[in-house]
Parts: sequence; structure tokens; C-alpha cells
Amino acid sequence: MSAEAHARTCAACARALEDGRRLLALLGQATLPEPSATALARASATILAELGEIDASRAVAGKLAAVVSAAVLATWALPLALMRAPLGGRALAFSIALAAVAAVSTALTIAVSKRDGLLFFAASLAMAFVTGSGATLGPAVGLHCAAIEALTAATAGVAAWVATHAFGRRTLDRRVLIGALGGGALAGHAALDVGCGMSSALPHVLVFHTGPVVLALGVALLIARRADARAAVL
Amino acid sequence: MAAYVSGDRRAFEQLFSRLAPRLHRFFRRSFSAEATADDLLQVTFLKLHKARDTYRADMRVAPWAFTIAARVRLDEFRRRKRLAEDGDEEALARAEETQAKTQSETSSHRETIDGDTAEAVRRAVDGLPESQRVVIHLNRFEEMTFAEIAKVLGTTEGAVKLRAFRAYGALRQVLQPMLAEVTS
Repeated sequence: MSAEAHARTCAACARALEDGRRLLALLGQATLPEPSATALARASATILAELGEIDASRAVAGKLAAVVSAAVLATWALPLALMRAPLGGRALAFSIALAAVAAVSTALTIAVSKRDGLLFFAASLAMAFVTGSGATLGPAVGLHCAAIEALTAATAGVAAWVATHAFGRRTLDRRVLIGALGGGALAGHAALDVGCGMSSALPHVLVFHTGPVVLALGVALLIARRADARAAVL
Repeated sequence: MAAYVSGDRRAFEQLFSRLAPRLHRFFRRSFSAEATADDLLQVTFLKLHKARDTYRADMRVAPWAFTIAARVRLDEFRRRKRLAEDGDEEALARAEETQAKTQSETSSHRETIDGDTAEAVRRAVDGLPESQRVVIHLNRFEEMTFAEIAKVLGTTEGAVKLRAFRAYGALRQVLQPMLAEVTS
């Protein structure tokens, strides 16, 4: 703009500016031909193929998230169905809430999460402090509780394995493994909120309800690490 | 771009259709040969795809893509002119200008301009050293500022301005008859 203002009062500069404009206009004619369709197809082929694989992988992850979450809910419902005790009240409400958290956390872990199992541990710990108080440990009952959680985690794990193979994948993905074992153990914790007679004793819940959730996550991470190491060797 | 970074195939297709012809022209301007431009376009998109996670939302897409293309161009020149691995944009410019000087001493650089105007202008641009041609291309055809060009080429704004000054000066000389024609 300042050049143009100056050019209004200086004939030589006005001429130079006009020359420059004409030159730029002339250069506009030095266009180049468009790339051929073959060149464009070749330049994008590898990337499109890779993005296609990512799309397909996401679709499978979505299906796995749905199936494994359903399995997690089933592992919660099954022990409750087998219980002879009448269900109801505050404990059942907490149990339903925790089972829902387990299913949602499983879906999130498989479909999007990058934080290995943090959701399961946080939910289990939070529930322990919400429902628990006192100082009773109850180790004899505790072993029974831990076994139930191990069973629910294993059941969800088997369901994840079956679903993974059904969807055409050969190995259990790290996220699926963590989602299934963590979600299964947390579903067990949710069932024990109703079924365990010591579910209001904080030390018992921390050691025998939250502890197995941590253990299940540890096992999942260990298996995933071994699988990664094996894949790296191959 | 954000959608493409997260793996969206359609977003990539849109980005590709917008950028590929421009990047192809950038390489055609530098290397002339269509086959070379085709190859370098492919290499650029593969590098861009690998580097997509480094893209920040506050960046403008075209200068980012052209920066990658400029590195591909420099690598190709390093290979062709046997420049050192760390030979930068300025080393290339020096090599180019020395070569252009030798050529202009041995042959008449100025050609008679007649016939098709567009062809004549294209030939005039092609007659510039590549280091100047690339600046003219980014400035005139990609409408980048000298600061943006400097960033894309990995050199200083002063160096870019100097190359542009020389290039426009040379073009003005070569195209003088046509400019005079337009004036009259």
C-alpha cells in the first residue's frame, strides 16, 4: 500500500509498479499440465489401502466392544441368578451401577481407550470406599470372593477369545484382553456387592474384591506383553 | 486434516484431491519431467502420511505439505547433483546458479519470443535456475509470502527475496518485448 501511495507521486516508480503488474499477469500464462489420473491413483494407493485397513480394524473393534461388554454383563448376571438370597435394596442398586460401569469401561477400553485398565481399578476402588467401612478382613470368605472374580474374569476372557476368532482375527488384541479381564473381574466385584456377606467391610472389599481386579489387569498386561514380545520376534 | 490424522479415509481423499495437483505442479516446475514429478508426488504423500501425527491444529495445511515436498525435492537434488548429505537449500542454490551461469556463457540464454505467448512465458520461466524458479512458483502460483517460502524451503527470508529479485529481473529482461507489446 505504501508503495502504491508513493507511486502516485513518482512517475518512475508508477511505471515500475505497472511493469511488475504486467509481468505477474504474463507469468500467469506459464501454467503446467495437470497430473495424469494414473499418477494420482499411484500416489494415493498405498495410503488408501492402509486407511481402509484402519477402517476395517475399527469396525471389528466396535463389534468386539459390543460383544465383550455383553459378556461382561452376563458374567455379572449369572452369579446373581444362581444366588438363592432375595435381591433388592441399596446393595443391588450399587451392584447394577458397578456392572454398568464395568460394561461401559470394557467397551471404551476396546474401542478407544489408551489408558490400560485404569477405569476398572478406579471404579472398583471407588466402590470399595463407598460401600465399605470397619476393619474386618475375613480371609476364609475372601478366598471364595477372589475365586468368583477369577471365574468371571476368565469367562469374559474366553468370550473375548471366541469373539476375536469369530471376527477373523488370530490373536487377542491388548485392549480386548484388558477390557475382557478387567471388565470381567469388575463384574464379579459388582455381583459380590450383593452376594458377599462381608461386602460392607472395607479391608475385605479392598483385598478380596478390588485386589482380584488389580490381579486380573496384571495378568492381562502380562499376557499382552508376552504376545507383543513374541510378535516382535516373529 | 484432523479427521485424516485420526484415520478417516474420506478426509484423506479430500485432502489429496486438493493438494496433489498443486504438489505435482511444484515438482514439474523444478524437474520438468512428468515421470519424476509423478514419483516425487508419491514419495511426498507417503512421507506426509507417516508424519501426520506431527501435524498441529494451528498449522496451515498447504505450507506444511509444501515443506515436506520441499524436503523431497532437496533430497532428489542431493542425489542428482551429488551434494553432501547435509547440503542445504543454499548449497543447492549455489550449485544451480553456477551451472546456470556456465550455460548462459556458452549459449544464448535469451530466445526469440514469438508464436504462442504462453509457451514463450513457460520457456522463460524454465530458463531460470531451479533455485529461482521454485521461489517464483511458490510466490506467483501458490501465492505464498516470502516469509512462508523461506519456511517451506528451510532458508532465510532475505535469501528468498534475493532469489525473487534476480528471477523477476531476469524474466523482465527476457519478456521485455512482450511487456512492451502489452504496453503499446
